[in-house]
Amino acid sequence: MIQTFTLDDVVRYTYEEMSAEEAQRFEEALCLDSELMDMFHQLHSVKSRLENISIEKEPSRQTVNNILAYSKTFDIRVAEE
Amino acid sequence: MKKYTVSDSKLVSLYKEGHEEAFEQLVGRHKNKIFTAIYMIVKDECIAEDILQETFIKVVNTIKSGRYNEEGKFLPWVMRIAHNLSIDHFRKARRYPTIIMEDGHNVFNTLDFSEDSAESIQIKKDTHTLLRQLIKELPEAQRQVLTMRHYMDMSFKEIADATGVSINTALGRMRYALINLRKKMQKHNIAYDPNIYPR
Repeated sequence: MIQTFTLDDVVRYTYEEMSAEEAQRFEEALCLDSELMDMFHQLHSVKSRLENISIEKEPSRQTVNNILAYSKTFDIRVAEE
Repeated sequence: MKKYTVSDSKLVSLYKEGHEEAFEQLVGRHKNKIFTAIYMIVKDECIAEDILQETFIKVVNTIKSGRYNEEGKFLPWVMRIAHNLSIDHFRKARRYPTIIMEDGHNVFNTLDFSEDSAESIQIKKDTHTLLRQLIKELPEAQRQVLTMRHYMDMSFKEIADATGVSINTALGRMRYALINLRKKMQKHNIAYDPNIYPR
């Protein structure tokens, strides 16, 4: 029996949140269902565009140094107080 | 997503054994992503720096005192700590958090155009600026789930938990966010990737 998938399942597949087995069943369903296929094309194309936009920011060197220094001087007795 | 030869899990194990350089690697790998996630909630660099430090203090305390759960993945765990501390900041300030994309250059200052001509650099910049503007125009709930999934690396389950909705609601919001964004892109003639959408 072929499992029925919803349009929200297309989102999970597009973002690789299915197990390998479920993804395989989904791909079989995709070939037989033009609505699912169309939705996949739509979502995947936008996802690809979004992946090209970087919005990453970097913390200051001082902040990173503070974090590393805290770890090096960590005292479990003080942390548990 | 980047692939590393030494896994986060291995680095955590080394760190527990006293190898501080393993912790340095973990911080180096993930600091930008965690900092960006915090900044997108609090929208203030100084506060984001403070929350990043608080986040890693919790990480150090938990791992060094032997309370780290080996079964979980490192980054999603740290992201959850960072998210909770960011939300706590708003609770203390009695403000409601709004995840908004930033217009200013500071937020998007890491775009890499080094291989392109001046003209294509400008076209890419214009397209990216427009795309960010289109994201800003999405309804709040849709923009939130899109931001959390794409730029905070949260799973739909984690987004559902963080926003207090069912996973189906989170998936539905994401689907509508992408469909709406696609419509807006079509309206503004932002081209699709021809490898994905052959004509």
